[in-house]
Amino acid sequence: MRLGPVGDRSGWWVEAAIAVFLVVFPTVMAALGAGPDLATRILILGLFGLGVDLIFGFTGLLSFGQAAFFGSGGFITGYLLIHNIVNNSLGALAIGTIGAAIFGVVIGELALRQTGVYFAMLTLAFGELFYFLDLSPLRNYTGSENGMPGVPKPTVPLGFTTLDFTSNLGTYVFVAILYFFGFVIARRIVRSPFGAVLRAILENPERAAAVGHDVRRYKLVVFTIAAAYAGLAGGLLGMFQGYMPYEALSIDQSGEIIVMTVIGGPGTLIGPLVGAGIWTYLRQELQNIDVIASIWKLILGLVFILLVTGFRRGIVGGVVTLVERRKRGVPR
Amino acid sequence: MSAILEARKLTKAFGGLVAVNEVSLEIEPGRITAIIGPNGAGKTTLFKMLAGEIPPTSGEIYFKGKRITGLDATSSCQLGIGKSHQVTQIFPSLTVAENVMIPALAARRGSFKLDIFSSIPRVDGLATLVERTLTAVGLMERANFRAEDLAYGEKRRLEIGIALATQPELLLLDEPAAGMSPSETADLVALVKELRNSLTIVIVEHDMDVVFGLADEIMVLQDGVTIAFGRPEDIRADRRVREAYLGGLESV
Repeated sequence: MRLGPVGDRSGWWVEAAIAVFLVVFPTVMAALGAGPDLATRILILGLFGLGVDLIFGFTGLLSFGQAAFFGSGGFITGYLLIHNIVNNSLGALAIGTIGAAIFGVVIGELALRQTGVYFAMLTLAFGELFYFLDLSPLRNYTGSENGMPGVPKPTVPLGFTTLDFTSNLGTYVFVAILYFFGFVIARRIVRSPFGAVLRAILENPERAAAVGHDVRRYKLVVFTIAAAYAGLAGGLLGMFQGYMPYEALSIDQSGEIIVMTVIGGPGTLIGPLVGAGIWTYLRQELQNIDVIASIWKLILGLVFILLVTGFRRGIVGGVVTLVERRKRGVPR
Repeated sequence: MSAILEARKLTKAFGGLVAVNEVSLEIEPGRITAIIGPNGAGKTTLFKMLAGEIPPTSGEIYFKGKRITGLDATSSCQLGIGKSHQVTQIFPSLTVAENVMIPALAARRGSFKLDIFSSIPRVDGLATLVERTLTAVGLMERANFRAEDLAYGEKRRLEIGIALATQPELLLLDEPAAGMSPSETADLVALVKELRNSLTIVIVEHDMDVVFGLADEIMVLQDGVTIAFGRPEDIRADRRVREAYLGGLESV
């Protein structure tokens, strides 16, 4: 008997398609009247969303505190670069990512003592805790409401030469390369035996435990991985914007990334990227139209309601369902 | 021969209600033991304690001579105690093969393994175990069906398959025939008879044909207390059992 990855039968063409997409994405955005900056922002959120999808879409853990990792990864990375403690962007990102992952272990260890709504509430509380730590006790480091200005654009010194990603397109390329690696790793995790256990936890956590899986440990590890994704994305946000905003730690940020994941399609990995694309693009376009500039959030909210009621598995999930139905409908 | 499972004076109290009261039992390897008793006798509670789903209020449990009192369900399962549930507990949107693969992964990889860069075909012995289990429960032809699309009797067999794929030495079957048609029940009896060659089985069941058709030994519970324990023919003849339980079925 041939056994494959649980609930994912698509081959390596998915990675190839993502690679092609990343190459043409800035051109597509330019055709839509937006520069590479919007594309970069969408990829950063898509990277953040990969982690959210791993815990929410694949394991069934709803966390309202992901901004804690997004923000802390960003502030650690920014601090290291601004104060010249590390002058290699990749090195600073790695430390920021590990820092966020360590926070992930600690918060996960505490929050995962509960399940369901109580888990979600605990993550919300930890998210708020990080937000206030940033605003008050740590203000000398984080700049409180002013954020942390002067985060340098990405450069990678190799000794003999320095790779320069400081132009707008250069930053896009830097982010796109990391997104691609992030995507490939996430897909490997999902397709691994470890990933199969995550799917079992999503479907029926009690039975997964009863047949001999240490469910809490699996949850803790995937929660930590998601925190690492968030931390990496946060570090990239600071570099891309040239400063690290305090809002990266806000509950709005935690909520938005969930909304993006739900719109795009949880449990698909591509979903968060699609959701981030639609959300970010609409937001920018709506803000540019005079009449509705002041009510753009209202319109985005309505779009969200329409998309969620129309596509219960998100846009990507909806498309997958349509394709599967068509395949089954056509006789060979 | 030494017992594979031994319970000493197991008690479970929920507040003031004592559901199981100082019940002791010894299960010899290779046998089928049935636990019967009227509704509310404490059968399911006793079973939950044996599987580690709930801790006993007092008393001890030993599995293969090792004390396992208070161990959780995950660890009990890893030690070799498998359980099929009274209410079907499957992974609804996964395929039948995947449903069996999940417990097989726990059997082949242990309770936790960080194999995030490995792949499912590389898990040693996984495909063989899944295939053997599906064949045993007669679901090989349904391997690629979504579990939630199965007929009721097939779901019940999958439920047993999930327990079997954990590779238990001791299998606890909680009312496996519940809700089954007579022909499905006959299939179930044949399946359990097949399993007895390789496993020790404890079964809680209301269907007396199943109980007397399978059991080497029968334990009768009433109000949380053991009122009889012995071979089927002795149980059938036991006056107290007939009054407590079988009385409703046969005129005394």
